[in-house]
Amino acid sequence: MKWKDYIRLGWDQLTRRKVVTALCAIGIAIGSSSIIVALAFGESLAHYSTEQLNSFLKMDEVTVHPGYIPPPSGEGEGTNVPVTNQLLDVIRTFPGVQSVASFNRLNYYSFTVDETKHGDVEIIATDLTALKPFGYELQQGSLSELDQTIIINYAVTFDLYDERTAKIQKMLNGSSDRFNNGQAPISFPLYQKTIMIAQVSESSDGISRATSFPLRVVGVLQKPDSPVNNYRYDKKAYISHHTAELLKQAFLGVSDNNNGNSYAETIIKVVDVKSIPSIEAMLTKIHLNSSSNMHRKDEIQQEFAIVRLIFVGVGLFVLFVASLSIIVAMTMATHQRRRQIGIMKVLGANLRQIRNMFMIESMLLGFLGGAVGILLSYWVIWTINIVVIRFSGDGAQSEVLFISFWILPVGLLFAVMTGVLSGLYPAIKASRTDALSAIKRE
Amino acid sequence: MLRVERLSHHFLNGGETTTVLQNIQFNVKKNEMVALLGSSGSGKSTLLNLMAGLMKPSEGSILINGQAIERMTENQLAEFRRTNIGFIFQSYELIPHLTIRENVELPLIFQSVKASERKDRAQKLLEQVGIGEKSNMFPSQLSGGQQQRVSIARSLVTHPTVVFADEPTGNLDSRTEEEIIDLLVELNLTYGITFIIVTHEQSVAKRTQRILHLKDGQLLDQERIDSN
Repeated sequence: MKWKDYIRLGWDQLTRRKVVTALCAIGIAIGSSSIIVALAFGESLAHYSTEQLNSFLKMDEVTVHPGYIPPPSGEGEGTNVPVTNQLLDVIRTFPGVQSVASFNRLNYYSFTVDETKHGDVEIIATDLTALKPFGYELQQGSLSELDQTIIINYAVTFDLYDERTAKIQKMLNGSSDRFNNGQAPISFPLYQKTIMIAQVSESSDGISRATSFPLRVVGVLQKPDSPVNNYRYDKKAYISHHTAELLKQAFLGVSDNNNGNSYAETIIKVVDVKSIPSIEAMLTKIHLNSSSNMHRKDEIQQEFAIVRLIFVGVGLFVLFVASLSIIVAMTMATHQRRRQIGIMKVLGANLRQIRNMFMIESMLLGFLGGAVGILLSYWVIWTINIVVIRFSGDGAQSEVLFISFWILPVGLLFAVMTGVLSGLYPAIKASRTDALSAIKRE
Repeated sequence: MLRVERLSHHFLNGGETTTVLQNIQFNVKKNEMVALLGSSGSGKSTLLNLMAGLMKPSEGSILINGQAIERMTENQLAEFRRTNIGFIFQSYELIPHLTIRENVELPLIFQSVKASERKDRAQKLLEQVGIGEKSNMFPSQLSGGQQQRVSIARSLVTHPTVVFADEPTGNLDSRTEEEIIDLLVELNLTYGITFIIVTHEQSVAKRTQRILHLKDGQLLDQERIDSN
């Protein structure tokens, strides 16, 4: 018997019992769509979290801090190991290292622009020309090492306030004169403007003295893709190590002559995250402390694996319940069609052909349920996305969940397998029908 | 072509053994049309079922084309029935949701015959039995006599060695009964098809070439009908 004939006869039977077919297909559709949604949920979350991890935790970076060599005898003082330019040159030779940049976090400073607008920023001294491999893409300007220039991130342009806006904010908020999460931030153009970094210090005679240091904004970093409230308050600006020296001289009146000697924090960009353990091992050998976010990734992936497992479990349970309905429906069909099976056997159908007829019928039922399940899962994902976009306060515009194409055949396979496995018992039962007793009329 | 040798069949009924057929022995030649005549309970239907391989005899042997069917497994019997045996039922036994032509095609589907060939062969046979124009209708749209013609066409579509007919006119009125018997006789004479017809009606049996009289599970005598 040809496959085409099995399918035609099976489909014919399904279309004859429309209500039973529809009920069974709905059961399978719910089950398979649960699995598709579960897999889509897992994949979307994993994708979203990886993006978030990469943008916030920087998975492909290793942070290096000064180290310490304890005294050989265990008594007395050990030796501090600073991160110097010489050590940075050594680190650059490690296999798997793409780029190395040293950072010294100076402080949080207030600044004024156009004499009226005020803002805050954390200033970090670094090797500006080494920033590009670390994903610092510029929206405006260029990475310049010129003295008294500054590169700001996009968040620095937000929430600048003057006396008038502070008054309005106070009226709106009641107490605070600052912007809050509920208000969309307004970006103020800072590119090519000179911002005055301000510091108020108290001299030994108890008199407060305000000092300001001008810096020209020669670059603005790209606006991040993530929701605005995720980066709104992360205001950072980068200056060269030499400019940092000038800033310290202006504010403290002294120089610690640090330029070129030691760095509080150094970041290594690696080619492949797999090389992080070996790089960390080599850093330990040269007595430097290091940290990376590899363990966080593992933890998060484990959490997502559990979430995915729960969803798939729910889907499998629904499919199991659906399979019971197929078993019942198909077993009923074998009873109802007992006479027909008997006639077919008399006409020459063998055990395998009768069994295959029922198996393919339930497989078609599974396929039908799976196809409806795909449509259902798209509808569920679409609905979730609409709900998330409509009700999320962080202004998410793009789809949160998505269904990859590889998930569709997996969902369909689960549905078809449910059909096949559920049809197994009724098919064997049907094939064992005694032809003579089936065709006998009382 | 068909040989029944010392065939007996018993079954257990409430701890007691009931003999349905006892020491039956006869031959049927190729192209012959034979009637198994007997009253209700004579064992004629049991004999037909044994010859068609639907039951296993308690004793004895049934040979069709030299093959002992009682030794075959269920799958071998299915294969054998598919290629060697045609079956005409008293109640036609057509599949209600298939068209007339699809019903006739059914045995060929089990033989994996190509769809185009199946269609041609089924249509030709439907024309031979006089209902070619009704091939796309469903069984419920036909009269009893027409349905039996479909059943006859279906039994012949695989070119079987022998066709067993179990009370083929049992559900028909006398006029239609006459038409169906005429058709079977015509098919036998024109195409040389071997028929074994189970009946309890003398009028039907008389139209065959030979009558095997069965009574209480025993073959009483054989009557050759010369008029045919």
